[in-house]
Amino acid sequence: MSADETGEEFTLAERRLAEHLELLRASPPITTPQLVPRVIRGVRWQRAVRDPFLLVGAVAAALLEGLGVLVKPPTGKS
Amino acid sequence: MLLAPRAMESDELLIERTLEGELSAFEELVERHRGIVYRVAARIVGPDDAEDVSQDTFLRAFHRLDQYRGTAAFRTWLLQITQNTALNALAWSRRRPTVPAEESAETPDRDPVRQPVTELERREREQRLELKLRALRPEYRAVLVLRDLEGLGYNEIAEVLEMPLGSVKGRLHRARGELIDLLRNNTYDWELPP
Repeated sequence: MSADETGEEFTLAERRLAEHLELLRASPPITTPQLVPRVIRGVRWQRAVRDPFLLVGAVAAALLEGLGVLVKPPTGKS
Repeated sequence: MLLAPRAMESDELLIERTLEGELSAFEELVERHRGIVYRVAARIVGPDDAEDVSQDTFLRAFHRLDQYRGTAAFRTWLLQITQNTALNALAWSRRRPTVPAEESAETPDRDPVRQPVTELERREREQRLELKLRALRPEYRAVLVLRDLEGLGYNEIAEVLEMPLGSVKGRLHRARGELIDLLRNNTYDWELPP
């Protein structure tokens, strides 16, 4: 068991593993520049669809609530 | 006349501007953080699905931006969404049949003639290691990627994984142990001491 500069202790096998992982660290996966426009297109599209969808949902909820009041049997003593 | 370049704005300022409706501010945030989001996604789900996971991550972040409280760094918050999205994608992909990783990734390089032998060997070791990393259980893979590949500190990892510090250290220790076992049970000699 030995420690590195962060104080973390490693077994010999873990130290060897860290050396192997250096291979992966040295060649990280790189994203394409298309990711940014893809995200922004997605945001624009979702925003365009989301607001009318929320509006329709709110109207439907209000209608149902109104209908509920109308068809609700009268309470109280007669 | 040339305009002086605008000083780099903080993430918090860009978030504020995004919440006021400025999409260009969010675009800047995506540009700034796309590298680490994509790397973490690719290491967890593999390169084929990494772009989709990254896109989902940013879309989720956009719709939840008003919930960001600023108690942790924006990057930490974003990585929290990244790893959750990646683990969900993995859980989803486990439900559909796929080509076994061992078969698909063992294919030789496209043009071995042009590459020197040492480069071929390095690439082969890298591919084998990536395969073994992907053979780890997902929660182990995530912690190992964040610590050993991305070099995040324990405190930040604890925030990303929403776990106590001690649990992070324990999980990382078990993850390294499992990867060492996987490499030992391999025909390729990784020269790992007992």
